This record gives sequence, C-alpha cells and structure tokens, in this order.
Amino acid sequence: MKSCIVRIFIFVVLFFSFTSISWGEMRIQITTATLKPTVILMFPFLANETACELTGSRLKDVIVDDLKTTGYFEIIDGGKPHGFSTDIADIVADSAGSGADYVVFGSISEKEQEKVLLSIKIFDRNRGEIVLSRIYASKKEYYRWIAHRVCDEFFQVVTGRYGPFEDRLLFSKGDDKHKEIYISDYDGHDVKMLTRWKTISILPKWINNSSFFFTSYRTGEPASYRYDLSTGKIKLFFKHKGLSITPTPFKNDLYAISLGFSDNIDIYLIKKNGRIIRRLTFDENIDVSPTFSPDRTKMAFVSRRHGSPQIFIKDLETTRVKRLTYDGSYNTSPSWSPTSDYIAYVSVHRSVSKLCIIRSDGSQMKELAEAESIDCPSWSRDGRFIAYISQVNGKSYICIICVATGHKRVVLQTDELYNGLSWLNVEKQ
Amino acid sequence: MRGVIGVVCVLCMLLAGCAVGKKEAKIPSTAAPEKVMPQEEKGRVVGVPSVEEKVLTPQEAFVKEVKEVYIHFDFDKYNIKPNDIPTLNRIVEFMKRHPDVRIRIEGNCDERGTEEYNLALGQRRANAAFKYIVASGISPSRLETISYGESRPVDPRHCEEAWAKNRNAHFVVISR
Repeated sequence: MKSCIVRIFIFVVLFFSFTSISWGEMRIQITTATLKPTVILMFPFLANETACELTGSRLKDVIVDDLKTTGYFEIIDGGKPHGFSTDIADIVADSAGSGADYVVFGSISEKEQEKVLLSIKIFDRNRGEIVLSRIYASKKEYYRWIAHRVCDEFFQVVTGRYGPFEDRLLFSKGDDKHKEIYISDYDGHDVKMLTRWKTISILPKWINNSSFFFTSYRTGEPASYRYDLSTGKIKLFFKHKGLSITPTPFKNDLYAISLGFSDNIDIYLIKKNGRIIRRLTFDENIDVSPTFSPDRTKMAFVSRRHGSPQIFIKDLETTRVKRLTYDGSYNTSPSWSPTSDYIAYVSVHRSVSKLCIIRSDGSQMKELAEAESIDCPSWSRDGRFIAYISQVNGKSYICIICVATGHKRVVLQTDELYNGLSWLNVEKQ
Repeated sequence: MRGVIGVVCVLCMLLAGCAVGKKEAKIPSTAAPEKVMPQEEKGRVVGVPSVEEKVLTPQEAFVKEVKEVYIHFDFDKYNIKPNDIPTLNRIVEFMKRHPDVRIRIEGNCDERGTEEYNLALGQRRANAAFKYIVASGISPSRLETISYGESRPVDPRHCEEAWAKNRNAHFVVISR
C-alpha cells in the first residue's frame, strides 16, 4: 500500500506536473510531499581498488545533486559500501529503519586505461524489487555523464518520463564589448567557450542536440549563425539589412525569426536556406520572441500593439490572435513548455522582475521566482524544470527551478553578464 | 608702406583661413586616433603636431561640433523627447555642412527588461532618430541604423542614473 502511495505521488508530481491538474490540486500534492518526501538511501559504491574510490565518491555526489535539484527527494547516506552483487536480503536488512523508499547501491571499477565501469542497482523498498539495474562504462573524465544518465533513467523508471540531466545549456557571457557563446552541462559543469570572435554574440537557441542558432555582430550588423557541434563549424544562416534576431525552430526545417523591415519588427517564417516564405505577424510596432506549442498549432509571441509589451497567442490554423497577459505593463520572453499547455515568461516591474508561468487560456498564472532582473526562461525537455538568467546586486546567475516544487538551484554565476540561455528541449536526433 | 603691411596681413589671414579650411576637410578622416598620435603614447616630445594642433578623429570632430551625440529615452519608450530636438537639429546641420559624412545611429537600452525585446526597442529608438533626420532633409543613404539592445551600456552601474544614460540613441560618424 505504501509503495502504491509513493509511486502515485511521484507519478503525479513528476509526470503530470503541468498537463491537466490545477494548481489547487497541485498544492495538495506538494503539501503531502512536504510531510513525507521521497527518501533515497545511498550506499557508497564498492570500489575494486583504492584508486577508483575517489571517482565512486564523486559520482555519488553528482547523483545526489541531480536528485536534490528536484526538491522531491531526501537523500540519506548509507555509510558503508554495498556492491552490485550484494544480496537483496542484506540490502533490506541494512536499510531497515531508514524510512527509505529507494535504496541505491553498486560497484565501481577501472578498466584498462582511464576507463571507469559503474554497476548500479536501485531497489524499491516498498515494492521489494529492483527497479533499475545497469552497467555503465565510459572514460573516467566523463564520470559526471554516468551520474546524470543514472538519474535520467531513474526518472524514466519511476515516472515514465526520461529525466533532463544529460541535456546541456547554451549561454552567452561577456562584458560591454565582447560576448561569446558557451556550452555547459545542465548543472554548470564542464563549461566550454564555443565562439572566439571578440564581438557581440548572443541569444543561442538549440535547433537539435547537435546544432544551434545564435545572433552575432561579427560583420557589424546582427545576423544569425548556425553552429554545428559535431564539426565545430559555424555558418552564416540569415542576414539582411536591418534587425534580425536568433530564429526559433518551428517544424519541418522551418524557423520563425523576428526581422526589422522599414520601421516595423515582425515575425516571419523562413526555410533552412534563409528564404522568407510567410509573414506571421502584422503590426506596425514590435513583434518578437516566437515560441510554439508542443503540437505546433499555436505561437506565443511578444507584441507592443496595445502600447506596452505583452504576450499574445496566435492560432496558426485560424490566424486569430488573442492577448494572453494583462497583469502589469511589461510581460516578455515567452517560452512554451515542450510537454504541456504552460508558458513561462518574464514580468518586469520597475525594480523587480518575476519569472511566471501561465496556461495558454490565461488561467493559473503563478509567480515562480523574483530578482532585480530575469530573462530567457528555457524549459527542460521533460517540462519539469525551467532554466533562467537572473541578476542580483551586480552579479549575473543561471538558475534552475523545479516548476512543481519551486526548488531553485544556482548553477552558474559571473561578474560579467549572461545574454541568452537555452536548455536543450527539442527532440534528440 | 602701410599699404604693403595691410596686403601682407590680408594674405596672412587668407592663408590662415585656408589652413583652417584644410583642417576641417580632415575632420571626417577615418584615421584611427592611436595611429595619429603615436608620439604622445610614447611620451616623447615630437613638436609636430602639438596637442593643440591634434588632428581630430571624425568622431571627435563630430562631438566637438555638435556637443552632444546621444539622445535619451524614457523606460520602454522610443519617442523623441522635446529636449533632444536641439541635439538632433545640430546633427542635421552638421550633416548639411559636411555632405560627405555618413552617420550610424545606434539604439541602446538599459539592462532592465529582456534581451530580445530590447533589441527590437533599440532598433525603434534608432529608427525614430533616423526618421527625424531624414524628415529634416538628409538623404537616408547617408544614415544607417543598428540596435545593440542592452549589450553596450554607457554606464555599467545598476541604478536609475545609469539606466537613464543607457537608454539612448548614439550617433557615430562612419565615413566621408
């Protein structure tokens, strides 16, 4: 019975986070969770030799950090190691009285040169069975990837939806003269600079898991470039006389892009060869920041057509446009969840910005975070988390917030500025 | 004798006038400042040109002549404010006096608000100045506009005073 309750709770909170249940119902679930968090007992991994004890310890720490990002789990340290082949009876005995719902244990060894092998099991104490049993091998330097993979698969087993921890962040960082594009793990580790143009390169957006767009002033005017991560090559994607902002992938190799023609800035649909095939917005003002519903039948965007920047939704089949936000005079940066009807956006008041979510029918608006400045909300591929940029006291941060629990984690910070952020949330290819 | 002195004086004045005229002709030069005055950087006394006779970069000459090369905007606005009209008029007059000068209008925003919207807002600020100057009789082919959004703050501080400075359109001489 207890097993059933725990599984239903996690299923509801993780899987159905924002698909159909209301915030009122959600609050009840979260309240329940507060009273009884899901407890995970983690035994240190058994090392076959002293040399890989440190890797095992580091790997365990990354798993703990990933799980803590959710705010769903309470992690208990098991103390002494238990290897992959440990008898389940021993696991049951050694976890008795811990109150744990799941027990994680396994072995770590090193193969050949600089290769690490993790054999891991996750035991569901309430159901009395192993729910995950895997062996992972990789270069030792990629131990963090193994940990993220374990957690992603754990989410898949428990909730039916794969986790987002292997997906990476793209961001722009720099001062008032130069801004470059960077990539990192979702948790801010393994940061790599991708451009070295010593100009302003901003607003990266994933196209798929191996390429992305960004805007750069490399030739003096803003133009869109496409970066191929598999080859490291950068190609000019779109340039025209006037403003153009990083395209947003739509479907079938079509992209939505904000362009300035004459005095107007409108949203257009372009092909992968850069040819404009359709104008999507018609307004003599500012229309920017297109983002699409998961089924690609609707587009949310920012428009100043009513005198202040607000979020509107265009039905792409009927072409009807309706205003979504009315609260405040500055609502921008919409980002449609890849899995639900929720749109994240930024609401700016004079000295404070708020990260909000709202359903596409205008209901169930909720404030998730607040800072002096917030920008670029970007959903994780599983729709459970939002990454965003915030500024407080002159420092710039990249944060990740769990939408259901509100649990926040700062993953990167700088004394410079972040200008653009994108968390891989498109289909893997 | 007085007549001769008078003629010499007139000739001197005319030559001085020519010299000034030549100096003005150099104003829109695209020479980089560090190339113009390497002697100063090394701390050597070279004599010519002296600090007073420094050849101004095109932008320096522009600033000297029009006094102000920024106009400012209210938060989330791109309409030209009445107190910026004299600045724009001086820029128009400068362009009329120097018909070979081209100017880039750079639209900028403060750090509040969001990046994509600010890129568009910066463009509208540059466009507003562009429209005023064109309406005053300057050919659009002598102007170009660009938006840097919030990427190029004049004042990096995070306060109302800095934000007010950073909401601007900046005028830059780009070529003759």
